[in-house]
Amino acid sequence: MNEDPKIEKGSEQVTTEPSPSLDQPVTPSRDGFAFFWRLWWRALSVKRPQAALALGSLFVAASITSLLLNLYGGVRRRMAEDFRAYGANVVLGPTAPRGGTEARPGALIDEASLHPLQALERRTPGMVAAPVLYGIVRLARTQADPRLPEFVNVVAVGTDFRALRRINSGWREIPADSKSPLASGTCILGAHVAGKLRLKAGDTVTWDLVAAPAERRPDAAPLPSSYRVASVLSTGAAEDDQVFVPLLGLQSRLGLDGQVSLVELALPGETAQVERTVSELSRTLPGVEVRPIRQIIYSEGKVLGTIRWLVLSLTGLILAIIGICVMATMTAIVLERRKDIGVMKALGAGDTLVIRLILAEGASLGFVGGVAGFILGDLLAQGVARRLFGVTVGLSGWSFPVVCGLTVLLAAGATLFPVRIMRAIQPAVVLKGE
Amino acid sequence: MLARILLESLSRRRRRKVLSFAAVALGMTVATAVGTIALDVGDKVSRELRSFGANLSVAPAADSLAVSIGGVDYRPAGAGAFLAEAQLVQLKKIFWRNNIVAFAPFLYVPGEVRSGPARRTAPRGAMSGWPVVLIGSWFEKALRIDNLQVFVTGLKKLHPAWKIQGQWPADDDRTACLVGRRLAAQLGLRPGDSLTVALAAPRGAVEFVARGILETGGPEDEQVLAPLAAVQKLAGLEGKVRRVEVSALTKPEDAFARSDVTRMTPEEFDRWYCAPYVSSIAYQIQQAIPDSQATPVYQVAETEGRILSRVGILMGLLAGAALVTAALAVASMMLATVLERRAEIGLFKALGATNGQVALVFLLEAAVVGVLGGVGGYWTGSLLAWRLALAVFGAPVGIHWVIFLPCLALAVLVTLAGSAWPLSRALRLAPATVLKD
Repeated sequence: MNEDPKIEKGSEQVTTEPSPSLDQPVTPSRDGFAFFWRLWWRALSVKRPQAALALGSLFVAASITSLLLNLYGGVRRRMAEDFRAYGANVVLGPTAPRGGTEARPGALIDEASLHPLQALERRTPGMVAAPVLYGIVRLARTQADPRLPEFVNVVAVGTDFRALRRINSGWREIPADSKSPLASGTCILGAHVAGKLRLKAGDTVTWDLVAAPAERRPDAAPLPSSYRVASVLSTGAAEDDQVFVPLLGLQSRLGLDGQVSLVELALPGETAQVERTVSELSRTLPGVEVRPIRQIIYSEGKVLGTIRWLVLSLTGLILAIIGICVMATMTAIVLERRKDIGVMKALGAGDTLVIRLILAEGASLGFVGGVAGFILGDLLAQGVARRLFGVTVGLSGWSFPVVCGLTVLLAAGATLFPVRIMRAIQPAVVLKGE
Repeated sequence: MLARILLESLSRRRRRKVLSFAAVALGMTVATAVGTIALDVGDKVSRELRSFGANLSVAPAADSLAVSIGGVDYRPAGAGAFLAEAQLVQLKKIFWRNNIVAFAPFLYVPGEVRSGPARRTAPRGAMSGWPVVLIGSWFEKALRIDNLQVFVTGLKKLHPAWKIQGQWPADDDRTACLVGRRLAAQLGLRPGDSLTVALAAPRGAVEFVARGILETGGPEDEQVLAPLAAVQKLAGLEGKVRRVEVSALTKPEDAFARSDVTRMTPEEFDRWYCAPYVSSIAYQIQQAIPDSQATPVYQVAETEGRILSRVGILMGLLAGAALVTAALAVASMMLATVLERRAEIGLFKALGATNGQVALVFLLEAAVVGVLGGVGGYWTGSLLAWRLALAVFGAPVGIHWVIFLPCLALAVLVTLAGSAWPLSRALRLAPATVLKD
C-alpha cells in the first residue's frame, strides 16, 4: 500500500501532481480503493443508533421475506393435499361403443380398455384409481330376530376398497383399518345398514338375491352367500346406505366379469396439472368418458390463487413500509453526518465519491441484515411449518440469493433517497456550524 | 403551564410533526389493513368452499334404507319415511340461522323416458323405457320466514358451480324441467325440447319441457330435475320431501367440539351450542325439524375445517409481521425526532426543568401524535383493505370497528415506547454539550 502519511487524511490522489483544485472531481485510483474501504469500515464501526435501527429494519424485512418465501411453498403443497380429501376429482364413465347406439344407462366399462390407466398410475405418484361396480342386493340377518326386518334391499358396491378408502380419507370406519384389502367373503356395511340390521364388525350377513344395475339377467346365479362384516363405514352421505364387497366377488355374482360401472380417480397436483392429466387420459382411453369434477378442481385453483395473491400483496405492503422506514433512517443518518461529509468535500472528495461511500455503507448494512434475517426467517419457517402445518420445508437453493439480493437492493434504494441532500451539502456552510 | 408548552410545541415545526404523523399513520395503515383482511379472509374462503355443496344432510329419522347411487335414490316413490316440506322454514329460525347459506329438499320418483323430441329420428326401439329418476327440488324459491324476511334458497344457491345451458325453470311451472347433460346427449335434447316421462301406474306418462340442460359432473347428469311441487303432485306425495341438503358456514372443529355432548356440563353445553360447529348446527336442525336426523357430511365438513384453519394460521402470521412492521416504522420516526431535538431538551434543562418535566412534555406530544396517527392510519388502512379485498376476492370487506381501539392503543403504545429510549439517552447529556452543537 502506497500511503503517504502526510496526506493520510486528505485526498486519495497518490500521483506526484500538486494537490488538485477544490472544484475538480477526484476519481479514485487503484491504490485509493484501500482507503475507500478504510473509510467505509471506520464509518460502520462507529456506533450509531440510527444505523442500528436501519440494520434492524432491514433484518426484519429479510426475516419476513424469508419466512414467507420458505413457508409458502410447503403450505401450498399441504393445502393442495387437503383438497384431495374431498374425494375423487375425476370419474371415468362408460361411453358409446364406436359407431353404435348411445350408451344406455347401466352401461359398463370393459376393464380391458383400462390398461393404459395402470401405466399412467405407475408413472404418476400420488394418483389413485378405484374401479366400482354397482348392483342391488337383498341382505338378511343369519340370526332370526322378529323385531328386525327380514331383509333389506341395498346397493352393493364392488370395489378395491383400499384404493377407495385412500381416495376418500374423510370417511370414518369402525374399527379403523384402512390398510388391509377386503378379503373375499367379507364386506363393509354403511352406518345406516348396520343400524337397521343391528350389525357390527364380526357379525355375518346373508345375501339373498342379486340384481345388476337397471338390468336383470335371468342367468345370474341367485345363490345365497354369507359375508362377514369387517367394519362399519360412516360418511354422512350416500355410502351410509351401501354395502362394500370385493370387486371380483360381485362381478362373478352378477355374471359381469371384467366389467365395472365407473372408475373413481384421485389425481394429484394443482388445477393445471390435473387438467393436463385429464387431457392425457382422454387421449389414451378412447372408449371411456373422462369426467372431471369441476367443483373440486376449479374451486381448489380459486382458493389457492386467492391465498397466493393475498400473501404476495400483503408481503409487498409490509416491505414497502419497511423500505420507507429505512429511507427515513438513512436520511437521518446523512443529516447527522453532515459535518463528516462537509470535511470530505472540503478535502477534495467529489459528490460521486461521497455518494458511493454512503451507498457502500447502506449496501453492507443491507447485506448483513439480509443474511441474519434470512437465517432467522428460515428457522422460524421450519418451526412454524412443523408445529402448525405438519409439513417439513426444505431449504430451497434460490431463496437465499433472492432474500439477500432484495434486502441489499432495498437498502441501496433507500440510501439513494437522500442523494439530493448529499449533493447540496456545502463544506463551508456546514463546517461553520449551520 | 404544561398545556401552553404542549400547545406551542405542537404548533411549531409543522413539517417535522407532519412527518411523525405520517410515519405513525403508515404503520397503523399496514397493521389495520392486514388485520381487517385477516378477519374476513376466513369468511371469504368459507363461502368459496361452500360451492362444493352441502355439508349437512337431513333425512327422516325412521327411514328405510335408501337405495341410492351417488345420492340419487332409486326406491319406489312411496316407500320409506318422509319429512314435511312445511317444516323446512324452521331451518332459518334456529340459533345459527345466519350461518345457513342455502338448503334444498329432494324427492325421488323413478320412471322412464318414453320419447324424446319429435324431430329426432331415433333408432327403432332405442327410446322405449329409458330409466331415469325424476328429482323434485327447489330451484330458486323465495321462502317467507316471517312478516319481514324472505329467504331465497334452492339448487341454484346450494350448487353455484352447476352449469345450465338454457335457463333455470320457475318453481311454480308444472311442466318445466332440467335434463342432465349426459341424458340430453343420449336423447338428442336441446333447451326448449319436450320429453315424456312415464311414472309407475296409475300416474301414467307426463310431458315435460326441458328449459335447460344441466351439467354437474355428478350423477344428476343422467337424471331429470323438476320443480318439487310438480313432482309431489305426480307422485301423490304433496307436502313431503325425502331429504334435505343444507349448506352452512361452520367453524373448524377442535377438541372441545368433538367431546361427548351427553356428558357436558350445562355451561359447556351452552358454549358448544353457541359455537357454529357443524355438529352443533346438526343438533339444532334436528331439534327444529321433527322426526329428522341431521348428519354432517364428514368429508366435506372436515376438509373445509382443515383448509380454513390453515388459512387462519397464515393470516395470523401475516398479522404478526404487520404488527412488527408497524412498531418498527413508528420507532424509527420517534428515534429520528427525539435525536433531532436534543438542543431543545438541553434548553429546557438549562432553564431549570427537571428530567421528569421534560420527559412529560415530550411523551405527551408523542401520545398526541400517536392518537392522531392511529386514527388516520385506521381509516387509510380500512380503505386499503377494502381495495385489496376487491382486487383479490372480488368482494369488498366491511369496516371492522373491533380493530379501532386496539389499533389506537397500539399506536400510542409504540409511539411512547419508541420515544422513551432516545429520550432517556438525550436526557443524560449535559445541557452545555447539547447547546454547543
